[in-house]
Amino acid sequence: MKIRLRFSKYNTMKYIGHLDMLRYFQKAFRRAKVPMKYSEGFNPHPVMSFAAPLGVGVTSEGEYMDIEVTQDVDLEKLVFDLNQQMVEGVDVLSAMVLDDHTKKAMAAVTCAKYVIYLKKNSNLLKNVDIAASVKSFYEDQSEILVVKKTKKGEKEVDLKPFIFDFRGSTFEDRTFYQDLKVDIKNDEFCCEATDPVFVLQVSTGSNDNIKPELVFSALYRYLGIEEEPVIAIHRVELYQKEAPDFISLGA
Amino acid sequence: MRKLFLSDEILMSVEKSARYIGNEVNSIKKNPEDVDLRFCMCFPDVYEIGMSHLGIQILYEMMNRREDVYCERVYSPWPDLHKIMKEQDIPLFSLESQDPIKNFDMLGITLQYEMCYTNILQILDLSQIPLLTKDRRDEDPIIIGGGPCVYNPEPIAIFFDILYIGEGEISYNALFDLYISERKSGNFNRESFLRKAAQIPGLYVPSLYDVTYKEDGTIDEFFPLYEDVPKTVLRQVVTDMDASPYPTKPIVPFVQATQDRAVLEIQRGCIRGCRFCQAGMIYRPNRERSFEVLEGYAKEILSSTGHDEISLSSLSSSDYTQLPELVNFLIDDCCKDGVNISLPSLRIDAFSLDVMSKVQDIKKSSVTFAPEAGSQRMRNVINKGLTVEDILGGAQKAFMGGWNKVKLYFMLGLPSETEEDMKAIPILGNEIAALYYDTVPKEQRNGKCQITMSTSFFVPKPFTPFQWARMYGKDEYLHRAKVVNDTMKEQLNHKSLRYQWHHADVTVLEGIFARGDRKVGDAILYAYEHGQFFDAWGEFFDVKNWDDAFAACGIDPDFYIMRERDIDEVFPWDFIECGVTKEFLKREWLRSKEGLVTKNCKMQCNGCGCGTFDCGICLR
Repeated sequence: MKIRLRFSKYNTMKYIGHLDMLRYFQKAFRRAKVPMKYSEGFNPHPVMSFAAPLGVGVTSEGEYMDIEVTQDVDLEKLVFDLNQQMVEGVDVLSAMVLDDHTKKAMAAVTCAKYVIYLKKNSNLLKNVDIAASVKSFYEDQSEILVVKKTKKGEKEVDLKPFIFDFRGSTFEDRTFYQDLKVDIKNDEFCCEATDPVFVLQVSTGSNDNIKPELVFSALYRYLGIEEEPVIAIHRVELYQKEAPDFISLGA
Repeated sequence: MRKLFLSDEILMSVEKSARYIGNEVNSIKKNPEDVDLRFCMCFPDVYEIGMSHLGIQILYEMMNRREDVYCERVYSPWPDLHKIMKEQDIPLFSLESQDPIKNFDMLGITLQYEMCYTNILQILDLSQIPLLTKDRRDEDPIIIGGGPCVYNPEPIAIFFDILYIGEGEISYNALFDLYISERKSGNFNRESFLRKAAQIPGLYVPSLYDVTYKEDGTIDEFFPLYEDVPKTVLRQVVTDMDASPYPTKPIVPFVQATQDRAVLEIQRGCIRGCRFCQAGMIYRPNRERSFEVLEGYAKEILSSTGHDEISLSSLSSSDYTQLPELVNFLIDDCCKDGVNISLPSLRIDAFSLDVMSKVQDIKKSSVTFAPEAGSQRMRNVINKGLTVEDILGGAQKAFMGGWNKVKLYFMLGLPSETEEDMKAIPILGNEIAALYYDTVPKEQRNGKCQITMSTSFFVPKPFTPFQWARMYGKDEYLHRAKVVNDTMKEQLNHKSLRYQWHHADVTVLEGIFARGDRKVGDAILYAYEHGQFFDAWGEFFDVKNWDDAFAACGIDPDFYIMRERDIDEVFPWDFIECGVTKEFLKREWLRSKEGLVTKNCKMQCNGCGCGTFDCGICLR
């Protein structure tokens, strides 16, 4: 039986790296006595894979993991049992059964949605109309050229085809974050009513993986801000492409 | 929401920030306001090393069982964070509550190897606690040291308020009770507290003792400053292993620890009596945990941690009486749940090879021998009861069982070592390789066999029969390694042999610390204050800093290294009653000079002195 789990990662757990999270869940499954399917050999490991690695320092409520179990389990009980084993900062949000033909989350994911705000506010950004600036950056430009570092060197890419949504506002506008499952407000960062907050949906996955930092570098340069943006990133959801729309990995 | 002590900016700028956030599975959460005593337990090395240490997990469990005590943890910040903390004047904090260490009542530092001595000072310095016991005030935490290095506490005596001699399970309760009552009395005074603490068995308060030296630099007299302070300190020993606390819910780190597995401590102490081995002497007598108790622990630990590997901890697992029962239980009960079993330090025989073939991939794994010396003469000198027949017989069985990799561990620089003894190392390696080609027919071979020999340089330790022995300089050690290497190249099967040796600089420093006196403390302080720490890490060890430190403090390293001690010399550690008596050690030292082997504790009692603890193997 194949199962897809959705979980969140926030608070101090954002400092735990991808491989450490993998080990954390392996042990949590054992503690919760989930009948995981194991690989063969002298060092058997549970069959599990994450949809898309989350960078250190990034919070999320849209993490997905596919697992395989050897006998049927009750999903509600699975979620409950796992949450008994979670530490503060990780919650298992839901579970769904996958049919045998479903693509692995890792292969299916094409796009991610983020809520983004600032760790350090630039003075130049304080005096601009955030919503209008982001709109003109994203909608008025026919292409958004950035220099992307690759394994082979640097190359110029047009980000525009990989950005599916980009809007900005301030924390006054609660619609940007009120439905989130995790409270993103953090007194270390810029979360005052007049501080900017953004929604960004970009291409993610093994092809055309776009990091939000790259988009923000381009935005700052467009606005004539010289310093590098220092952003707090919260991943809201991961999507797969079902033409013509994106649908949630958990749908 | 849990608040961290370090800012996000700092955590995002250092390597592996997860080292500093706590919150691990099974870490203990208490409200600091609800307790009378806050203890912080420290392993003065990086998190991944410190979290692999069983002793801290035992004491963490034991101390936190007390409702009036909260025990937390701290490890050495990596040099990247160290730099930031120094620049920004940020005090070191505990992992659990993220509170500054300087606000704690006690800081306990475990001393597992001499190369961590500068890291003690790093911990105190970053904690903003005075480095020297004499400079501390009533409001500073009480700094306590423990672990195997305290069997010669003198080189670090000036940094500690208390050094705990022996196993931590015994005297902490009395110390806590004393501290809490002194604090509650309302007029706590550090000096008077330490004076009272010195009465508790096993607790050495270095500031209450003084030392005078002879003209030749050796100790004339070591004595307490006051009449009510005990002249000697008795090592504390757990007498009933089954009844002593054990962490069945050990902390599970997020960052992968060096030992990322469940650990069963099956016994303490060793029956063997190898003359170079400090652990074999200072943890006597051998005391086993019963199989039934271990069986329960194994199940509890695996279910509370979710570890997928379990390992046995002991000095010589093969000597554990109920080993077959224990191993069969692990294979039958744990393996079926996908738990791997790792078996360290097993003597290679039919039984262990059968077990290994069940739990390891023979093609990838190797069999390990620790002959410690190449020649039989040398093995008699060190009382290592492993004969060439044992080694060749074991290797042959392993080759027939399908293994083709053998690892061999040796020491160079042992007392009375001759060139012949050095050459015997690769000659033994060659013999084992030849045996492979004789034993395994060509068509069954899986390529060449691979015989890996490693040598470390011998460092004499306190409370061993070799505590009188001399050491050598760096060049002599490297020369000895070269003799081994050159001889290896002359062997017929040299293409199947590999040889690795250790750095010699660290050996010399370790030797100075291991048998140093109080004067050495000044050099440690000097070296730290001039930027030296993390000596256990090759990339940070700079021998020049140490040369400078010894020169600046007027210390002659050769005094500690090059000198064979007179049989009646007063040692810095003589005030410790370790169990093994100086008389026994002298006897063993003299027997070693004659190449006489001494039988192990199961075969006969050799009257080492530990019988007075009245437990374990001594009761049989």
